[in-house]
Amino acid sequence: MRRRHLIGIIIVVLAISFCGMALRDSLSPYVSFAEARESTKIVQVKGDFVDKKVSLWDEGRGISFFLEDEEGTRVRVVYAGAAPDNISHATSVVVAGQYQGADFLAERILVKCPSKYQVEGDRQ
Amino acid sequence: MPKTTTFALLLWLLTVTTLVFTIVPPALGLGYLVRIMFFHIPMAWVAVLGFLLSAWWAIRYLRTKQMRYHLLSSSAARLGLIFCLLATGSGAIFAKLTWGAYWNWDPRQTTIFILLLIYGAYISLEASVEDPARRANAAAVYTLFSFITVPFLVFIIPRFFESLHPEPLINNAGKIQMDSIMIGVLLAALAGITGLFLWLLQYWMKRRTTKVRE
Repeated sequence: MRRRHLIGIIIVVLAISFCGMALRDSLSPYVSFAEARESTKIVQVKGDFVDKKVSLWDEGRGISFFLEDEEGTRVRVVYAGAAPDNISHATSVVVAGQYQGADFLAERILVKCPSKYQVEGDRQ
Repeated sequence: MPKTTTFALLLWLLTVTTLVFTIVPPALGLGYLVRIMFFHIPMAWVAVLGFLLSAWWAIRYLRTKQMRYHLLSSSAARLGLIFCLLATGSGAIFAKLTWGAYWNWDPRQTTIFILLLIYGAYISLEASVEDPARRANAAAVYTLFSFITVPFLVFIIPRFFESLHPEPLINNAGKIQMDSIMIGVLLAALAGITGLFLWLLQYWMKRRTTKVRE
């Protein structure tokens, strides 16, 4: 009986660690710019919105801005649409899309909300 | 439960809701969207509390084999699941308004989805065993093992992955970065929703025990 328990426990532990490892790879949808360059599919890159500056692109039909991923790669992101309203407050931005030459052409832009719950402006 | 307790709880919840919509200042970068946070965080907290209590009463049941503890454990797990669904829903709305998408399989969303599956399976398990004693045994063992995953899915894994979700309330540096009025209202909301959870639990227990007696 003892031995059977031990074998059972070993199987459970192995199963859990296997699930954990499988989960680790699929848990995050976000990749780096280097991985995005390798990929032929639409991928999501999460980066720091370092300059906090959005410029016009394609004669004003779209926008462009720079993102820096975790590995420190800085890439110009272009997007054929208007910037999300809250992008000026964003610290990080997720762009879904793929490389187009040296630029990253985004199909969707997601904005990370601030982690600090502070008051807007000064409270009187 | 005495009527005055019910009345006091109702009054407390109404007051908290009023405070959320009156004295809570607009937050930097979020504006008045920050109001959702005062419902979203307490719901997630109460879901974890429900799962914890379910595991605790499962231990009590396995020790004593008293049906009362099984009913408590089962009710806590079900309420936990309901509040977990509410947290997921309010989170998805919050995500749409801030990130720009209801669902993005963000690590936070993936882990809470797994949590919903785990405790959803609890309900199927309970429904699939006919014999009350066997059902109670199986449910107790299942909810006990399920709870092992909760700290990982809720507290540990999301901290190690890049996420669009804001940092947990108490961040990795162990500091709370929140305006003082907001903390006050959030604590009141936490107390209120916890009270609501306990009220629903006792109400559910009363209904289920009278059903058993009949």
